[in-house]
Amino acid sequence: MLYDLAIKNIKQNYLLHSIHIVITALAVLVYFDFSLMAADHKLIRLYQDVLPADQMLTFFSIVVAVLLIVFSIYWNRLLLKQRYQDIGLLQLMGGKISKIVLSISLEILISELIAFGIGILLGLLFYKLLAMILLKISVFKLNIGFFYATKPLLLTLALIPILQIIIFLNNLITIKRHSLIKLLKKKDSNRYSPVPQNRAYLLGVLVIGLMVAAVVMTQHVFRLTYELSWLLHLPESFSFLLVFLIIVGIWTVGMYGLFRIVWPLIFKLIGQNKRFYFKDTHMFTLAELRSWFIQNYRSLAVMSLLMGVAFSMIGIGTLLSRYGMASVDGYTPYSVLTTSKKRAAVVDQLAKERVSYYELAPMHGTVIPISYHLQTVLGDDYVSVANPGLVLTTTTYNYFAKHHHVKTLKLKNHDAALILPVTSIIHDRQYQETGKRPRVKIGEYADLNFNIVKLSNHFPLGQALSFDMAVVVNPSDYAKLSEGIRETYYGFILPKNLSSKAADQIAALDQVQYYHMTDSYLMKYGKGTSKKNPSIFFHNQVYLRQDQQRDMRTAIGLMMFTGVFVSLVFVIAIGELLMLKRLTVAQELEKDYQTLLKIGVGPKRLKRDIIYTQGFIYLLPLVLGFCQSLMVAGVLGIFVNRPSLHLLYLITGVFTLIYAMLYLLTTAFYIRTIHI
Amino acid sequence: MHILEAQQLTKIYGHHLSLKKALTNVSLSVEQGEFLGIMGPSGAGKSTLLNLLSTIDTPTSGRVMMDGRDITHLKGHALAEFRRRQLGFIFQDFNLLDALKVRENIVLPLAVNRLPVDQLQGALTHVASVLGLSELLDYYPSELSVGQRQRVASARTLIVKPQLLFADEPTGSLDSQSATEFLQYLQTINGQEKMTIIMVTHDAFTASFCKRILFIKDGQIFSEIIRQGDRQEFFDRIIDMQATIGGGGKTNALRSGD
Ligand SMILES: Nc1ncnc2c1ncn2[C@@H]1O[C@H](COP(=O)(O)OP(=O)(O)O)[C@@H](O)[C@H]1O
Ligand SMILES: [Mg+2]
Repeated sequence: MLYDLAIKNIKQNYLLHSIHIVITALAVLVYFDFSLMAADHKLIRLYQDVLPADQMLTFFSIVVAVLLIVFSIYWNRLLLKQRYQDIGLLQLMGGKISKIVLSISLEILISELIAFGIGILLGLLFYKLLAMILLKISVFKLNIGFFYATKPLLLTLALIPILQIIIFLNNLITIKRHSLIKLLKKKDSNRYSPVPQNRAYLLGVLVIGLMVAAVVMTQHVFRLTYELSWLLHLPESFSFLLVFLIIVGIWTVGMYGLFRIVWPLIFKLIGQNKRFYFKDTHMFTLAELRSWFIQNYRSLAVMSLLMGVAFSMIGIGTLLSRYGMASVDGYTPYSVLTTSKKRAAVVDQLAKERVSYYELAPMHGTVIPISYHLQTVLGDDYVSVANPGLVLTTTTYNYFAKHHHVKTLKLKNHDAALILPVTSIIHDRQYQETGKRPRVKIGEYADLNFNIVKLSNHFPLGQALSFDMAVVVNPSDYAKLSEGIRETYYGFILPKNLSSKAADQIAALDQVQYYHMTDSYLMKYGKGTSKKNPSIFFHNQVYLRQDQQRDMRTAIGLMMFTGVFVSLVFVIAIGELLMLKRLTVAQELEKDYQTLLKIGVGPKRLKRDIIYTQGFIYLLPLVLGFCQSLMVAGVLGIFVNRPSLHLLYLITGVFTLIYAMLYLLTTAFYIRTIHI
Repeated sequence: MHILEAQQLTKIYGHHLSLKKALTNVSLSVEQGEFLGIMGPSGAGKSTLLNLLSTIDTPTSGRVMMDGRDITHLKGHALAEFRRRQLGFIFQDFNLLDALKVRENIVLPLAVNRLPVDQLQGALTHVASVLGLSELLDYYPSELSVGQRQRVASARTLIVKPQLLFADEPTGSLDSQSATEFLQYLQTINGQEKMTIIMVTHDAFTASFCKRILFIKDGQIFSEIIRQGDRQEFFDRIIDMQATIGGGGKTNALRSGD
């Protein structure tokens, strides 16, 4: 009996269920394949030097699972709402609530099983393809075969009972909470009434103010972090988190207000132009839009925020890849860099390979084993944390600056230039200001040991010499800085890339160099001491740009792969949720459209109205999401030298196309639903 | 000349397997300024006939002429344009747009006709006073009683001054007092504004406001009566005719009362 009812309901609501199936299958596909990849040792091993690929894939698969759960709950709520009347009637006839809920759960289970079946099947089918795409964008030139493991499958299947339990409980509570009368009521029209106009003006201004405030705050996020940590004596990481949460909070409130108050107000104001309002179907369209925003403001706000998350992922990925590539791209003024200890071996190897090269003059520097916490005071502006890689003496710096046509700072004798990594956080503009006001304070870094390891994993010079910016420190600060270990570096410029075999051989010369620090040194620069071996840190001795470049591409490939797929799931889920909502609206408005037809509004005119309205509704979350990603990119861009967002634009373009397809589909279904 | 003429209208619903002949060879003509009633038992084909006459549906065969022009196969823009300028509809369930205020509901057809705003206002004031809606213009339909809603729907129809007004069971959802008031309005409009009205009803009381009544049974015209004396007399004749047809509930009630 229950089963028959469930099947009957699915057939009756096939559109609702197919939307559910599409998004669930897609999420399952991504979740399953990510889990498979994380278990595929052959694949993961390729990344082991670069990134913990399995952890990343697992993390993102969990993100997708969470999204799926959220989507399912939401979708289920819509389904339930459509059934209120039926449920009320069943209850009236003496049906038990738990039985009714069970029948709905069964209906959802059937739809879920279909979706999981499709998702897992496609996951198996496309595994090889996806893995090949991943390898391709990670610039691995090798083939990988089909892979299967049982654990990922079980992990995927485990989602079904989780979803079922959540939905069952959710429905039980919802139905129990609703009185019979409420259930039997046809529809809760005008669930939210518009905010009274005089108050709406005030609130609207407030909302816009909040959103502007959030934007402004993101532009000054580091300054705020420092002010706050200074004011409240908080650790900076904590204070950063606080600022971040405050911004997110304000933005979220703003987003809610935007849909609840501002847009309805705008439509109201447009309506005050009587000439426009009383023309054609404008008043109907405006009233419809207005009530759409008022009634759905919560979900629209959430959708826009999620869209923002999706695009921000892409924005962050784009900038991180710029950040990474900037340290290894053509701007790096050497192809190979070695410590003095390895110089001879490198020269030998280069000669053996018969490659021509040009050697730079020796560079005298100091290896700094910790990340200084620099607070560069620029007027009243703070520039935030930096990881200095190397301090050069004035002479070396000037030599280098001249040789590579970098912007020259005029340094007095005995001053020092603290060379920051090319990708460091100080912006070109700030660099100009620094040049004018050279005051650098060197603070303490709390987490010393952590940073020793972190820094020393990189070649300390790696990014340091590819600078086009510098911070000037005063002699006494320099004295402190130069307590690091002196080291001379040799740079080589190769006109052409090495063959990969030759590159491997040069890279093989690299050995980590261990430095033993004195206790006093550590005592001076940090509080933290490790229980292991606090006085040792290490860094690499041979740096090959080509090699680093490849690693970087590999890392970026993995990041972009996961990021793009996850955000794609986000974007499609949002598009489909909008579809669901719009089709519900179409059902409610069918009579209204028929009335308009009878009044003599042409079907063409109605279709045009629908296409525009729908377009606007679809466009909003997209635009808002994109703006959010630009905001995030704006903050991250500070860290990135020559930030470029082309990749973000490109991927956004592709997503927009996919999203536009959902829009067109929705519009077609919508027009079909209202029978015009 | 007849304002409306139907020739040999036949309507068949459904597809190959389940055909349903709702209307068979119905011909009729309507004069300018008439108040025509269409009566008959439930399922007789009244609504079908009205829909064919009013371009809402197209006949399987036969044609509808208006002012000598064949309107049977108008489509798309031309159809919309024609409906907008010439025809008015009033339905049992009002079909008001919930999202719009009474004022906006009423002027909607004029807005669609792209009338300038000031003319719109004039027309609104006039029609609202005729239908006694002047006080209600700023309410939403959901805030009105059913009788008021039907008046709003009528106002929306009448504001365009259609040549022909079609009404399908317009009093179906009204209590007897609202119905009487509403029918009196229709009578006024028919008399004062010389508007031709065609109204479907199964209710003898409602029908007694008409000047002529066509009776339909099983998709065909069964008979016709024309009002000569006062309304009470007309009402009695309608009841008699219903008894003859053997459909309406009241007839049965009368019989069992004998
Ligand atoms: N869209 C339709 N499809 C199939 N049959 C219909 C349709 N509309 C009406 N009918 C049938 O045609 C007959 C006449 O219907 P209708 O004109 O609505 O009757 P009335 O308005 O007199 O009650 C009825 O038997 C009805 O079932
Ligand atoms: Mg009918």
